[in-house]
Amino acid sequence: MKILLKKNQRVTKLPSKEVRYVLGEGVKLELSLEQAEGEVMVELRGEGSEVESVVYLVSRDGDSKFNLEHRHVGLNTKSKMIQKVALIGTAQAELVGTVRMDAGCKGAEGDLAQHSLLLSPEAKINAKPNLEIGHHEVKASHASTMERVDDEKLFYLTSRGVSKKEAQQLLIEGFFKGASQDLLTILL
Amino acid sequence: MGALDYIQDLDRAVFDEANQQSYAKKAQKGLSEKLVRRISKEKKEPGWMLELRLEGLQKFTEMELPEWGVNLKDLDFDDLIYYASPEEMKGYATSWEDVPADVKRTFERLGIPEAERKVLAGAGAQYDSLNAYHNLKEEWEKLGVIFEDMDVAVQKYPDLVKKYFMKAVPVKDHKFTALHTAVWSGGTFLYIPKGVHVDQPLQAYFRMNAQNMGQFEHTLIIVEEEAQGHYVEGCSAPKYGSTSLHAGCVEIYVKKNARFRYSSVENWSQDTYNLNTKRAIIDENGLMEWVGGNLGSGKTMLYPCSVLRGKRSKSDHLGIAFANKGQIQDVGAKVIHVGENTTSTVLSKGISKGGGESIYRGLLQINKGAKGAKANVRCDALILDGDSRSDTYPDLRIHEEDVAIGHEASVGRISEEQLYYLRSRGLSEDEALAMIVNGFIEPIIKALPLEYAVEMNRLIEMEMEDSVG
Repeated sequence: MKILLKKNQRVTKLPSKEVRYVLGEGVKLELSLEQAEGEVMVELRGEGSEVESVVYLVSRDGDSKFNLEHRHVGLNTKSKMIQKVALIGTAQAELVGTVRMDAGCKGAEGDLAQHSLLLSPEAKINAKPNLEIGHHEVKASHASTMERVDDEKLFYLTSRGVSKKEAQQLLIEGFFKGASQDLLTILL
Repeated sequence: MGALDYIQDLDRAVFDEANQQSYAKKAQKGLSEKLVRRISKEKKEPGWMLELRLEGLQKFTEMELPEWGVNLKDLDFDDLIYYASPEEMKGYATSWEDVPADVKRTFERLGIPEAERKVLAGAGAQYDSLNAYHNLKEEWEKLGVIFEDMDVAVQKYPDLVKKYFMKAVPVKDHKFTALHTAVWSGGTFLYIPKGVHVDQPLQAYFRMNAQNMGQFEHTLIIVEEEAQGHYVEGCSAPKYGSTSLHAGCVEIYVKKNARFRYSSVENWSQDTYNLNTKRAIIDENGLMEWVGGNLGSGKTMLYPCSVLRGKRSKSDHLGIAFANKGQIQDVGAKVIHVGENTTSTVLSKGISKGGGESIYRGLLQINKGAKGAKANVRCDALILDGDSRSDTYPDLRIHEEDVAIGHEASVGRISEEQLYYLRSRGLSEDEALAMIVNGFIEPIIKALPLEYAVEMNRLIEMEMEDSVG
């Protein structure tokens, strides 16, 4: 599915599966993708177009796969991608994030950050933050972290009288700041 | 025109023809069971080595080319010479007088000592180097260190070699390890006994044999408990008369409480496919350090790998890749955490210029049970002009929850501000660029032994000449 967005266009209820967004000049897109599956691509074709995507993935079991690509084509485009995944139980996930800059996209700035929280011994994550850069007058960066619920932070909270279970809940909520309530209930 | 551009401009016809005719007539092209048996027979190898070679040949014919990375479809396996015996190679060493003037000038600019120049150019025997080599050898032998040609080691220490050969890197790891097993020849065997600390870097240059084409060398290094050592391989000047495929293999065993550093500077000629495989297995509390520079060669696929088997084992990977015109450097690091409380770091710097492609491809795998694993990967890339590109493909496979992993990368061009600052202090654009690039790669250069560091710096300077910002 391809969706073409032009300047000043108002869009609500954006699809989040197997879709390709093409942004025209000056378009600024904010994508919030929860429990996304399959592949999504955002093409920054128009000059000055921007995208900010936040991806949340939570799973208790099964095998999840998701691939989000920000492709810079036009001049002076900007992209920012944050992917947050938390796995419990026997969940496995493959999370791919790609920042691609085609030859000619002078002035592009792209950033990608992936954060994974593994909350059980059986959970497995396969994370691939990719950069494909074909132009030199650009800035691109990415980062990926994997962590567990921080013992120190847990201790701090429990030493203030919060039960361990509540403390874990609070920390996970903090990790997923910005996600919808539905998502958090899956986890907690 | 950079001094290393001579690789393209040099009229190699005269130089090459003389070499080609003398050995190519007798050495056969193509791979066959007959050739593999001949190699084993000429080297007078024990039966188990022949069996292993044949197994390699079998697997090579069965396995497919990898479907990722550099496009290898142009490799014509029937058109390569896989082995040439010492007799066939006699005509390969030319006299110093026949080496073209351009080539001699490069060696001067790089500050390479005269003895080394002759060996690198395939000219002259290693008379000078042999003397130095022999003196050092006596010192090491007193400590029980074995530093020997791989071919000789198979004869002198068969049980020791058999225990470790193609065990860190399995024969069927991929098509080119299978090929390597079948036709390997030459290389270095290094054994450091328990508790021995070898302070001086052991240099492969001493082992370099002008009669060995060096394309399927096997390096096997065993560092026993509590031992320490540093091995340096390669040289900063391109090797002449190299054939177009290098599928070498390096296996390193770092035992309990041992420390080892493996440094290499790989700079092959432009028409080469550099497909080496390097792997280290590290036991309890051991430390492995990889320091590598990849320049030259048309296509490189190289991913040194550390397997952190023992608890509290550690690995550090430091690497530079410089992709110039017509080159694809597809390199990176693989780290596999197996034991508990293991630590790894990777620092990779890529530079691409003149249409070159620099690619970081890495694997960070935390096996289930590798509790307390800590890993940090940092890969930075500099793209110096509009024709070049840089890609980063890290693969993070985490199967354990009790871990702390960080990975970051950045890609960009040289900052205008930095350039302006240096130029306003009187440096030319080229000088300023070279200085900034040197700063970019400094963390890796400083890990190399002094003379290699100096050569690397000069080499990069030469690659940088006339680069457009």
